[in-house]
Amino acid sequence: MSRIPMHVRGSKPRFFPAEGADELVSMVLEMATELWAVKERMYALERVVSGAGLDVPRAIEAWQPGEAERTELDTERARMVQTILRSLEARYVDRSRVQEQIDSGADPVAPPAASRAA
Amino acid sequence: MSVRSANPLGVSFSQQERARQSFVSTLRGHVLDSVAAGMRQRYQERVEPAFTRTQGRAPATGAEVHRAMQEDALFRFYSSIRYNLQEMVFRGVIPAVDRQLEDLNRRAQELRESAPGVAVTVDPELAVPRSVSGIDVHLAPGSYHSEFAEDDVAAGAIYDNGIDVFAYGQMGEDIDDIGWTMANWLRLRHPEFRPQRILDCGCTIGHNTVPWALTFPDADVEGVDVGAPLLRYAAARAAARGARVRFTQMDATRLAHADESVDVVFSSMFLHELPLKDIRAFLREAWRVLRPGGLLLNMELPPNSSMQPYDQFYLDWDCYYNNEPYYKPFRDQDYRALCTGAGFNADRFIEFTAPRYTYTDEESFRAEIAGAPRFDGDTGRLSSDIRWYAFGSWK
Repeated sequence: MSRIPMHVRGSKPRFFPAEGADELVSMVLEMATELWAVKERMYALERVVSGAGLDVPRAIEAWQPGEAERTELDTERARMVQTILRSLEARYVDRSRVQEQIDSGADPVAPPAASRAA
Repeated sequence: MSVRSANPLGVSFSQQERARQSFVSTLRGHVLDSVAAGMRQRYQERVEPAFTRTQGRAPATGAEVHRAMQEDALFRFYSSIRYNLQEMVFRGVIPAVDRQLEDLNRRAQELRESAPGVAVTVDPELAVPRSVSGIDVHLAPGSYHSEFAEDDVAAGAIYDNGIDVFAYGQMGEDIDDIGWTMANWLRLRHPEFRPQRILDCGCTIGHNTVPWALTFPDADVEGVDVGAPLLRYAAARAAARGARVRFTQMDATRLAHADESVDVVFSSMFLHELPLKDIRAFLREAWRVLRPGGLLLNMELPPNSSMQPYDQFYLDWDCYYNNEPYYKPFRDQDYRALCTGAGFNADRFIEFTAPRYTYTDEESFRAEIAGAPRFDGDTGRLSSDIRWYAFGSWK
């Protein structure tokens, strides 16, 4: 148990009207962070094991990325962030139109009339 | 994220902790740059036109933009992720500080005692204002005044290591760019002004005080704050950087300094954490302690009156969701009127924007600070293109 508190006093704001959505965001972020921590440890493990066959856990704790490796990790981490959050990018598919097309009996896979004409 | 493991006050983090911190930092950078850009686009393309269709006009204030954006899924994700990441910033550093607390406190004490130009004076009788003790400011558990051991520096160590994750490399290698930018604005813009006594109010860990001491090495530089663990840490931190700074536990709304005894009263990111009555009291104290010809300089968030409604909304997010309840009420003020209300002359009011000094070559910096202040989406918004804002007055 930490002497220093880990929880913020007061109530947490809710951003989503759907019950549970705020908690899901929190879970996804914590999972993503843990996944990254594992990925980085694996990366370190591979480097360390290839170097020598000694005390691997201790060697990993002692390991510090060099400049090139740090750059590699930075790039890979940024890619992972972008992948996880790809649904929030500005390019947004409006699913309501797909639903309207299905419900109206039109072919939802066919491109809209404007782009067909182009 | 800057790497400061060589710091003699450094906290030792495990590989797993370091990896989590890097990830949170990278994620914050992505959300504040890419997701924020998408959110602005969403506002321009959907939210603003929809508001205009129903209301017959565009949103006129940040509060109206906020209410319109609250229905938008992208705003919900942006907000939910930012809130969680702020919690994760602190959760990622607290366990290590807790594990090493006695060792940290001892090392901080040794550092303070090793540097003759550095001193810390705490005041056990000081009543910590409710604006600090009553809420966990910035969502920092325990806020900035709590103590957990003898001669404690925990809050300072948590802040220093937390802000390193928070800043994602955008606030200077030593989280000190604001201090360098403000001190160098004064040095380059007013080379004739040679301050002998500089007072930094609400200095937290003195990260922006140290650049003043290094820019004006002949000046007597003092930092004051209400948080004792911050100041014990600040003194050790300054000692480790070879800066001569005194730190004193004091409420900036009731300074112990004599009338007309200080050349520069500086603050950074301080006023927006204060209730309006305390802002007014601090400014009156600044006027009292400044010598005639002295300078009040507050590095702050830009006033809402200078910003477009969307940018008002964007910056005010922290007020609603980051436990900084005085942030928007402050930004809604007329900063010139705040200064004149404290005794300063209206025609001696100053305000400027500046690029980050430690990210800019000196000639470009000098050219930009010579111009009029620039207010747009990069003014005061933490990003790779941020421009700092400051206001104040000559006495």
